[in-house]
Amino acid sequence: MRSVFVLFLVTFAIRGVVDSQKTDSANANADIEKQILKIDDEKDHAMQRYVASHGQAGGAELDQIYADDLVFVTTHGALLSKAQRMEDLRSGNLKFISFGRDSYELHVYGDTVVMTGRATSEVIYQGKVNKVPRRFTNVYIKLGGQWRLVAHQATTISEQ
Amino acid sequence: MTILRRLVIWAALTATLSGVLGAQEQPAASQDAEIEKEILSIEALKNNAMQKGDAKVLEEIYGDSLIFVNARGKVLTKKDRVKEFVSGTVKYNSFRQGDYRFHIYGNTAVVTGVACSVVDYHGSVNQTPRRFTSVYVKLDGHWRFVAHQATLVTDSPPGDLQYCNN
Repeated sequence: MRSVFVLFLVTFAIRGVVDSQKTDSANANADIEKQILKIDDEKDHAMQRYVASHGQAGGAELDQIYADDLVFVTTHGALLSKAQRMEDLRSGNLKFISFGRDSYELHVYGDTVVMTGRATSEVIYQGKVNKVPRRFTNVYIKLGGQWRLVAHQATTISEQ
Repeated sequence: MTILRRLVIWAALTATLSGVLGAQEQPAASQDAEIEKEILSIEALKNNAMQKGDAKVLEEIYGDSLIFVNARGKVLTKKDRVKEFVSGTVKYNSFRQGDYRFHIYGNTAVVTGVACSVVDYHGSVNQTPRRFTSVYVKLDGHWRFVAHQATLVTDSPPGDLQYCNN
């Protein structure tokens, strides 16, 4: 009888510890998601400023957020480095008519976050207007204590 | 202490530090090379399973929370993606995928590449090359495929798709 009681107590205690660990982990992930959404927002604002000013403003913020070995795949399937992406934004190839993003989904794996979403911005890219929504994936990794965008890919949505 | 003596000590310290740093860089580079090899072998298994519709192998490799964005911009879960192969809605007329480029960040690997397979997707054949980004994360000691996105290559610098043309 006594051993049954002890077993019950031990099981109860273990369950408590496991539940508490789960809650801690969920809270930590929720906190990371908040941080990523904030950084992604900052990136978008810096990008719009950088584009509008032809590289005169917002560059320092973008440089901080884009990882040095960023891989960036455009909706045309072109693979750009960080320097190429910055040049693309600065050059006037891209203009925003309106800016919008929604339907975010984030998956946290420790110091790696995979973020997917839908971009609804209307843009003029290389002289052509694009109003078709795009699906994107952003990969953020914590490097030297800072969340950096290491990969981005966008795809035009042709099927819902 | 004479200037010469200080210089000798400085040179010895610099040489020692540079040796230590060099030794640290080498294992990191060889670790990354080892990870690239592991990921490439998993990619080979995955690609083989995709062609055979082998759900068991795909379920092992795909992370439970896989987010898969196909070339039409549609988001698929692990279950959705496996179902496509089992049901036969995705069939390969030919299979070619390569030009892999790796970026390793500890337990995360970001892989970009090009697919020039001819694929029958829901009854329509696609021959346009696709650029993809895949993300692998080591979970409980196993590399898992947690994210993938594909985009049709409609505008790319000359020579960029050499892999498909060879």
